[in-house]
Amino acid sequence: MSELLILLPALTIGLLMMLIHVPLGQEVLRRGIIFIDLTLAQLAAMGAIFASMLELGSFFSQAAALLCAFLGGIFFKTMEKHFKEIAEAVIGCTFVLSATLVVLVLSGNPHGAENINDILSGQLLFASWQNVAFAGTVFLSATVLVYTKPELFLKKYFYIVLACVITTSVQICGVYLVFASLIFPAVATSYMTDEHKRRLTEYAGESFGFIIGLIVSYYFDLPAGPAIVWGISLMMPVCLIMKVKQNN
Amino acid sequence: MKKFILFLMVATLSATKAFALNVFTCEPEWKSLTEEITKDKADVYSATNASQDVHYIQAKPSLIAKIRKADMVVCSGAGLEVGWLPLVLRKAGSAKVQEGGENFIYAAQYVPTIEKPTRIDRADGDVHPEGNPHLHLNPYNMLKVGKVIADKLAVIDSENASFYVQNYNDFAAKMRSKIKNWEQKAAELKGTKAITNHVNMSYLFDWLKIKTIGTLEPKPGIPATSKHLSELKNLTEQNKIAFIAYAPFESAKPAEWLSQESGVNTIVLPYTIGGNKQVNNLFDLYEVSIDLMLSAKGK
Repeated sequence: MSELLILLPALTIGLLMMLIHVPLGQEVLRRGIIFIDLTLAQLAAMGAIFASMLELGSFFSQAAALLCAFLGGIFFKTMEKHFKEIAEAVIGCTFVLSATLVVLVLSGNPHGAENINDILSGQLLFASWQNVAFAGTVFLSATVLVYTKPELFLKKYFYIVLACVITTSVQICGVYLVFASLIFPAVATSYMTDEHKRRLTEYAGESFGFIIGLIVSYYFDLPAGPAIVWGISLMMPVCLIMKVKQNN
Repeated sequence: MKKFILFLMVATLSATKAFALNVFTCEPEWKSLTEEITKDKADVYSATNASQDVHYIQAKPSLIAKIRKADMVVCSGAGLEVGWLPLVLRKAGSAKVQEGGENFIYAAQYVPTIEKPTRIDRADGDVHPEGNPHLHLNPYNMLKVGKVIADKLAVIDSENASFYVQNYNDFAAKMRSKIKNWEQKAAELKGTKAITNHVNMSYLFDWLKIKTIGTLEPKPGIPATSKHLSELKNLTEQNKIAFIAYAPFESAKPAEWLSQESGVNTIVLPYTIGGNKQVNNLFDLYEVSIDLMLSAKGK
């Protein structure tokens, strides 16, 4: 049982991340920009990997990752505004181009396959308390901003907040888990009309899913990111059952 | 005029043949060993370099071209190159070098391999039936394989037979004397306990009587998992581990994690020629590896 203490940093990061991902994810769903968040995560991860290959220090890597996410955000916002018909297509294309660029650039690199896997599945199980401190600060600050001044940070500065948060979370959790933790709870509870009840259900569901996924990944030697994705996905049938009961 | 052109053609042909002894090796350690014997009389190519994990090599077209030119092939064998070499050989379709042929050397066939599995099952991970293939890390094995290389070269290029044999003898004499030094120097490493990432350091440890009490990989070829690492952490609490060793092409993450949790030092063993800046030939390889282990143990 004490071996589970090894999972403590991962669990802490996960729960702190959930605090901000849930409200952001709900907003992403409301705006209908599902694939933007997937692509932003991929762009941030790409920026981080290329920057770390230059070996100029972790501050540089973070800045590069953030820059890629910002530029992506600006680009997509412009697409949405002026070329709405092809915006979704362009976002999808950007995702594939970014992912394949990473493969091409890393093809000669001995650690290439490992880095690509880290972008997608994350490195949760190797999270250190240092990671927790840095990422936790980002997540907590964003959460405070979003709950105290939603009219500012979920509206005008939404893309900036999204880019900053996702850039941090994708490097720990990978693209798949970032997407799942943002979108799954919002989708699962989309039928709920009571805002408070919905928010509580999202938090409860995602925490539960996260913990189950983490423990399963530990005991069955599975990669944490993908296992937790499935853990959180349990919300969907559960909420469906709740909805059916509610209708009856 | 015709005779002159014919003469020129023959002259160019024989001129190109003169320094056209091409040896294709699969890994840098065999390139280095071969070059100790051929010196400048052959063009020796290594298909892989020290920063690559030899388990994950892709059969590239450039390798096919190199095999076509090759007069001799030297590889580790015991299944180490099974993921790409047979494909490259098939595509190259060379008459001179074929698996099992005279000009083809699988080092594993000439040395006593260790860690032969008692059963062959995918559930055990990536296990080689002929034994552990990372055999170049025991210098005695290099002496044996070097002799085979020299003998075969003496047949392929009989003009220079005595040159090759002499070079081998010089190499062997130097190696034997160095081995004595190393064994003296490394005597205090006997019985030391270590953790490695993969089973690729086995021959080095077998030679120097160092005991691997666990690998970061739960099974060969399977990346480190959280549960396995926490089991290893328990092992470090019950045993005095001198160091956690991994190769330059392996991920540092599991090793560094375990090091932080347990307080055991990590070292990056060069594994082959070019593994770090100080390892430029076989003598460096063993010298530097021993120095790294001694200094880790000393801390």
